[in-house]
Amino acid sequence: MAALLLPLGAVVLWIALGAITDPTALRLAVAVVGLVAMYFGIDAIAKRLVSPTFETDFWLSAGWLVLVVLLAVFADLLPLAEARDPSLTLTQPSRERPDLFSSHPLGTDSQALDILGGVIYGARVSLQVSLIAVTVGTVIGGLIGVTSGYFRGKLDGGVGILTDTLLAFPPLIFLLAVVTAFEPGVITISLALALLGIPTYTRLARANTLAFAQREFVLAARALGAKPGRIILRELVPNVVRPLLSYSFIIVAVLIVAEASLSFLGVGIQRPTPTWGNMIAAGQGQLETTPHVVFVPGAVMFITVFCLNRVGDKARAAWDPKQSAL
Amino acid sequence: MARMIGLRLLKLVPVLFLVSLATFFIVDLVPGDPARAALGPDATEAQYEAVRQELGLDASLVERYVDWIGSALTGDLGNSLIKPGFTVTELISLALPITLQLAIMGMLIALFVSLPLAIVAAYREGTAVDRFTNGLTAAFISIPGFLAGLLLAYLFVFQPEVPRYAWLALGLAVACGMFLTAARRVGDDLGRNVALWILAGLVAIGVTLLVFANFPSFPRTGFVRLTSERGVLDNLRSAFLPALTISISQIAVFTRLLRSDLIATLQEDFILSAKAKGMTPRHILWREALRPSSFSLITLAGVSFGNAIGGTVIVESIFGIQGVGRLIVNDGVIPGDYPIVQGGVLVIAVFYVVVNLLVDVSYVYLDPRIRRG
Amino acid sequence: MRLSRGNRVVALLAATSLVLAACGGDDDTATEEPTVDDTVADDTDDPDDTDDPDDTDDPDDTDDPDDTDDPDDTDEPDDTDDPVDPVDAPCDATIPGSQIDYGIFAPNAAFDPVGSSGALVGGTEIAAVYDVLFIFDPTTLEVRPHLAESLTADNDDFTVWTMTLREGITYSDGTPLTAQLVADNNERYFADEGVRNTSGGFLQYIEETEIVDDLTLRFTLNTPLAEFGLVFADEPGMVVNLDVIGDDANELKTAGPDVDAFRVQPPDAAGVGPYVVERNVPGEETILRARDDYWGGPVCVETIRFTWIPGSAGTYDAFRSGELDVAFLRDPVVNQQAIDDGVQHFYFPQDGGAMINFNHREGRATADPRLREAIMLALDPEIINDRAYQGALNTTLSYIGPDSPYYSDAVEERTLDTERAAALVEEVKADGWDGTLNFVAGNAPPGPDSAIAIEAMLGAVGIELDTELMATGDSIARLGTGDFDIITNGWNSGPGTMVLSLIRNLSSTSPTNRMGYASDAMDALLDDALATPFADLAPVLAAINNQINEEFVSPPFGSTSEGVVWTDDVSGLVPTVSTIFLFHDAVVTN
Repeated sequence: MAALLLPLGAVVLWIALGAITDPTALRLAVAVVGLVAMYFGIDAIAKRLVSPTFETDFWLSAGWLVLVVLLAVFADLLPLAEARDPSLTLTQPSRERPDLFSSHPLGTDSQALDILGGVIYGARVSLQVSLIAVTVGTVIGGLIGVTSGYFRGKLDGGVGILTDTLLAFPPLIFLLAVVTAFEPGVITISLALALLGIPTYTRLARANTLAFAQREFVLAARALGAKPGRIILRELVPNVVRPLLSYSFIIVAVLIVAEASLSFLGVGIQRPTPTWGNMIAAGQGQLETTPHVVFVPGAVMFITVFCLNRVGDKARAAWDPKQSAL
Repeated sequence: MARMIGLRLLKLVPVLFLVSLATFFIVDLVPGDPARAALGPDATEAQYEAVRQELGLDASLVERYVDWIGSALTGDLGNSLIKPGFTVTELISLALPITLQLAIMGMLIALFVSLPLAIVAAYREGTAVDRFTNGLTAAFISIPGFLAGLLLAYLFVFQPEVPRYAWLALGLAVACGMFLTAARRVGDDLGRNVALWILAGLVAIGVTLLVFANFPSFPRTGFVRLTSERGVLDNLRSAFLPALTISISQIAVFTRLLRSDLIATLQEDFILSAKAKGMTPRHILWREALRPSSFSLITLAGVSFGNAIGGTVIVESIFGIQGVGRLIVNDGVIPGDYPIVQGGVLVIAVFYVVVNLLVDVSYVYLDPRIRRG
Repeated sequence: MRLSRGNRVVALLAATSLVLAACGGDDDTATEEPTVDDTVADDTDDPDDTDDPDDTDDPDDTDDPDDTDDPDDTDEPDDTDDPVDPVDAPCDATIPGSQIDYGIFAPNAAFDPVGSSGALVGGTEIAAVYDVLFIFDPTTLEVRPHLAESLTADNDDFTVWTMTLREGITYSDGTPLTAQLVADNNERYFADEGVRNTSGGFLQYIEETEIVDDLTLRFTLNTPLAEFGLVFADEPGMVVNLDVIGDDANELKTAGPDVDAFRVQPPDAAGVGPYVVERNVPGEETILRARDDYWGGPVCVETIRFTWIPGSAGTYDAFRSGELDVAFLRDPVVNQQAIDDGVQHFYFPQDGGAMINFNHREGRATADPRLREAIMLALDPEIINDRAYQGALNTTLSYIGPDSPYYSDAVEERTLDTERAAALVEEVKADGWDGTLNFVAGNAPPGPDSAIAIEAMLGAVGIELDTELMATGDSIARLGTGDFDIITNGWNSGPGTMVLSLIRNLSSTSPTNRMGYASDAMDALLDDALATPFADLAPVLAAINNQINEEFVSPPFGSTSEGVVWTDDVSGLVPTVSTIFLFHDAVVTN
């Protein structure tokens, strides 16, 4: 019976996005009702067809993330209306409201740029920035953490004070200070975010290293006369990297929000290059008259962060030995 | 114990030193000429030079740092370049109370919401209520602060009927729940409880209708100081939406922690024995189970408070409030008034470090397991 | 039908100007026929604004010019023996507890007229403290004496002027307001190597100041200046009692302790205005308290509280929620919204309020007139209006907009033609230009959207823009250093500041000519404008407008407006030059 909720919810969502045009609050509410109904419908179907313990929310989250990544990667191949170059939209209508059955399904912004396209290209920027930052953060923070965790002593103390110092700055203030000093672009923002992530990764890697350093295989390697560099790279890093990576989803979520916050404050990547943050910021002045310019990219961002958190929780439970103990 | 705290304090010294060093040198990274910021673009080169000299920009970095930190330790953070006659200390002391009020109010709202939510969820673990709470906290934790702020601004300022009726629905639902509880208790051993629940339901309906009838309007931007002649109500009205924005993510964090904590506590022997003794669920929850959890809640509240202080930039920017965050960004970073940036960042960072220290210390103090270890 | 407040302000002006008509700038104060100008109704949509018999609470009614309450009417010749006795005050004494909450545009940097620049930064607050020698009427375009008694041109070419001060005006420490003090105050504008602020700029035309007696000054100018009185309606007309500052008075930018204290909170004896500073925290609030011995009679409103809510939208929100009684607005979208909401308002039209400036300097790509022409052909104000101003901008294709008091049929519009623009761009590219221009724009709304729209339109004709968004202060700095190809910068020519703003931006000898533009034809037209009374200025300004188009100086795309809105409880605000409003006649009920 509950399976009927799926088509029912789809119809409700369809009404919200296509048939109702005003007011926005009503559209939002109806859309949410439709989505919730669809969720329960899918949940019921999946539990019957696959297994009663099927984690619908996890798989839906993973599915959304895959969808976002695919769209971002293949954005250029999609038949999207112009979303990046306002000189090509001079004759297009600005501030169109979302209408699924028009050439601008999610509407247009003040520059007549397509919001659906903007959201997809924005995903590309968000993913690029956060993946670069996470990679740099993991490598540098991880190596520092493993090294200081292995050697302990003065090095460890020094690293501890440095990470404490970096963490003593409220994250956003820290980012603002760093970003104002440089020209904002994908690389600089990524590096600033990486800098933000490094102390966290250092602490994580150090804590894990401390746990592994006392294990038999490390002690054995040391007894056999292996050099510290070899022990770190061959024995510790492979073991530390998994719990470290398990945090990546959550940290990507945090960094996406941080990048968007910078864009929102006007110090991130500048329009018309679309990012979720600068799209939201561009719409906030006209919140009253054209709320969709804010809330469409906002909703996409919220759903993405939500899914990253959900997937991240599961990844951490599966891969981080300390997490499962907590 | 004292030794432990002493050690922590000792560790704090180099951190604070590095924080102040980093804060001071951030300014050298930021482009722009302080003299130009102070005089505007039209002055002559000689005048710029004079100002640079007056600001001591010709001195070596080390000299300037020592000079600055020396004054800072006595509470003197220098003069604003652009606002004449104002010391940075004065400007910060004007902005800090606003930021503190927002952070405190946000935390109180978060506690007020998350306590009942977590208790109900923990007590009815695995039920629909619990799953709903889980979903809600997962959603709240995933809303970026600025999005939450804009959403609240949109709903409360531009679509005030929506929160008004939402409030009505919520209030009536709570009252219904109370009446249902009363109905279920009829025929129970304790008749007194039925009357209490009915009374509570009536009170809930009364409060709901009263607020519904007098639903306040909230300003989109601006802030009325607590000490302003316009009174406390106006102050609360102007602080409500920003504080609510701050509280959103805290509600999620608090509820999650408290819920899992409570669930763990409820499995412990002393609770089970209390249950066996026939204590009421209310007594068990409030008197027995909540107490151990309150420790971790305090520490978490401390951490969140520190975060909120540093994170109000966004909220202050959305709601146009002249707190420390905006002071740093709008009066410091953007016009290039570097003493404000230095002073503001230093004050916030010190605040942050000290709050975290207090949290650590209170943790040690409150949790016997750590004290022993 | 009740008089709208906008009309009351105008009516007050009309009334006073009836009496005082020609004192401001004509060579003979007596000959000019006083008339109620039909521009009285200009500001609002309400055509029948003048008579309303039951509007008894309004002291500024125009029905009977003789019955005006304005203290200024005392400067009718037969009244001069009793200069400080108001005929019919709106109140007998300051009304206890009365307060006006005024939302300002930006925090006042210092209570010093020398550092101020119109109502945007502190002008209104400062004028309330020091009062002004003259008042400019933005609707009739006339200047009338206020704190001064008269200003007359002694020769036909407006180069020698005599100013007479009122007798018996003293600061609260007993210092009299003398000719010497006025002259000393003028000197302060030169202490900083060059004159910076708006009307202070006119002082550079003074060649010699002669103190004839305690109350009389004679100015000899190096250039004919038909509206010399305007200078003293603005900052130079706010006379500071220099005794209270002490020795540092002339060292403006030197942070002496006396100067600093004075700038934050001038003592009561610093000015003779209707208000004194009770509390001043820039960016937070400034509270002024009525002076009980104001020379012009009782000041009705006890306190004025100036608060700053960033952005016109926020200011207007606060106004609507009842936090403010008067709000200064300067955002086309918000200003239009207030009109739509039926709120009482008085706006000063600002020609050239929305425009970009070209860099004409040698070596810049924009030195090539073909490129400037291409840009002027390509920039469609309607697109900028749609993309950045939500349709609220008063778009124009000419510098002098249709709303300007100086508009005439002789004003020509620039043409739009993207095909020709693209062809010109091709031509310039063929000569070796790389196709990219540097563009500096503001980062506060609507700056970014406007910049993107401009980028889009120029992109469509083959011009690539390398856009840099920055805070206003930074972009002004860039303007100053000349490091730009194109920059958003309004010349903001209001009714009073029109000629000076054009000179500042276009004269080849102006130190604030940021474009590096120089043209003999333009210089001649500007000299002509200086020597022409406001009443005859329209043809000269049309010629300047057309010269701007012809030489592709810079393209305007809209007129903006700035001014205040106020609630029904408030009346009697007096607008003057630079969008400053005076409070000596203000009344607030309840």
